[in-house]
Amino acid sequence: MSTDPAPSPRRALAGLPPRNGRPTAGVARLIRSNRADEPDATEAAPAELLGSRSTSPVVDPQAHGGTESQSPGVPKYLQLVRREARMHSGQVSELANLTRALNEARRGGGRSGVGERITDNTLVRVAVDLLLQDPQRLRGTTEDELRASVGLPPLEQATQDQP
Amino acid sequence: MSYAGSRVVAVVNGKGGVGKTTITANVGGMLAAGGARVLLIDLDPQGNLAEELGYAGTDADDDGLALAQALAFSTTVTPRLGIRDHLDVLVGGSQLDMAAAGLTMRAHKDPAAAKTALADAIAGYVEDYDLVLIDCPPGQETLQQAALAAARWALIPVKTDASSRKGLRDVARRLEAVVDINPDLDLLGVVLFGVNRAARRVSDTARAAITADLGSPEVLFATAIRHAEAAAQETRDRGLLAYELEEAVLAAPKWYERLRGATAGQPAAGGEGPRSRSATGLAEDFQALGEEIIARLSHREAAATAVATTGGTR
Repeated sequence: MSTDPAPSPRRALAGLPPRNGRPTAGVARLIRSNRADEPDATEAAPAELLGSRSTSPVVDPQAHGGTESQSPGVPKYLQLVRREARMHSGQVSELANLTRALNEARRGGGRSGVGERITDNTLVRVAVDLLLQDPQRLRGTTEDELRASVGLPPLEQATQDQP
Repeated sequence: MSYAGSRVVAVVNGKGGVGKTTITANVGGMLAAGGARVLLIDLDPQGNLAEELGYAGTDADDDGLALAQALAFSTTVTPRLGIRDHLDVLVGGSQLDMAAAGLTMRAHKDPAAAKTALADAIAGYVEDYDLVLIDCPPGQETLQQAALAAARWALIPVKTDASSRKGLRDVARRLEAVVDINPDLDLLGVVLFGVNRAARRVSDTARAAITADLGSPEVLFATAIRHAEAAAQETRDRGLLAYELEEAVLAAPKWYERLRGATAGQPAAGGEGPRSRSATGLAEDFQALGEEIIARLSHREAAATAVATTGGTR
């Protein structure tokens, strides 16, 4: 059984300087250096977008035959371009719930199941294609206006509506 | 200037039961209570952080599945948000045994990728936190190395016995194993845990031995975390941190109030309530340790900034 802690604790540690700005050293630097062999979003953009200066190491799945996720010997992440995005916290948890539900349905109670592993990134790619299917629908100068143009409620309302 | 990497601390020792999880939870919890944004990463297959923070068996507890998948398959993993105010957790558990096996296989093909598995998994949000504490497993060398490769600092708890100090030397070997890919990894300090405050001579002997091992008295934190069996047990039973248990104990009815209630025919209020008064001393110790950690981090970051500034003006 858990007892709720008091709302304002007698003991709390203060004085840790808040962090600001983007990291320039330490783990972030380490991560960057460790990714030196891995293409970043710009380096990995398809050659047709960058012209002749691109030396894209992204593997063309068609060249290997099979579907994007099934081509033998080529990990899926090497077939894709890294593009990080910031999301609202509600979106992150809802996306994780949806991914989990889809994978559970896919497995049907077993360990492996049918199909391929669905990740948050899989769903993000589907959502992006859904948006790019009819880009003319998008109108507006703010996120709320853009949302409204494709029939979504304003952000604040959407946040409140989430379970 | 401050930088994100300096705020990832691996709490590590090759021996179990030296206070890694308890220190991770309590220092992290107190900092979060003070308003800092804190992420705790439970990299231990035992998953005991769940008991310390009281989310064991709840919906938040996936037994380490998401974290294990992220480590084994190079995916990202989202922390469980709001375990306490300002406190998020990457949940650990028995599934991490699978991750350790996966990392061992990866290490045969690509040793560097296996070591940076955790750093890669948390890269997207690690800079959003004021402090990240990693609770390392006592064994599972691949998991320990992944933690150390993701960390800027190593915090090493030890007990006063010789086998704990041997664990300290094992950590030194682990540090050497990742220094090729994480040359900035440094020792934040060593803290004595579970010290019997009456056994002064034992404590002094341990301090002298550790100082001899490490070659410097400065790495030892002045604060030692006392042995308080009842409070330690009650915090885990109730899923409370030491300072939360202290508050619960202080807020609970006194023995004479309980007695008065019972004689007046009322239920014995708080009969099963929090009672470990040693929680106060334990909470004091964690607060003092947290203050020392803040001071060291601030001091070293300021020194690094000064060096960077001097270097930049040359």
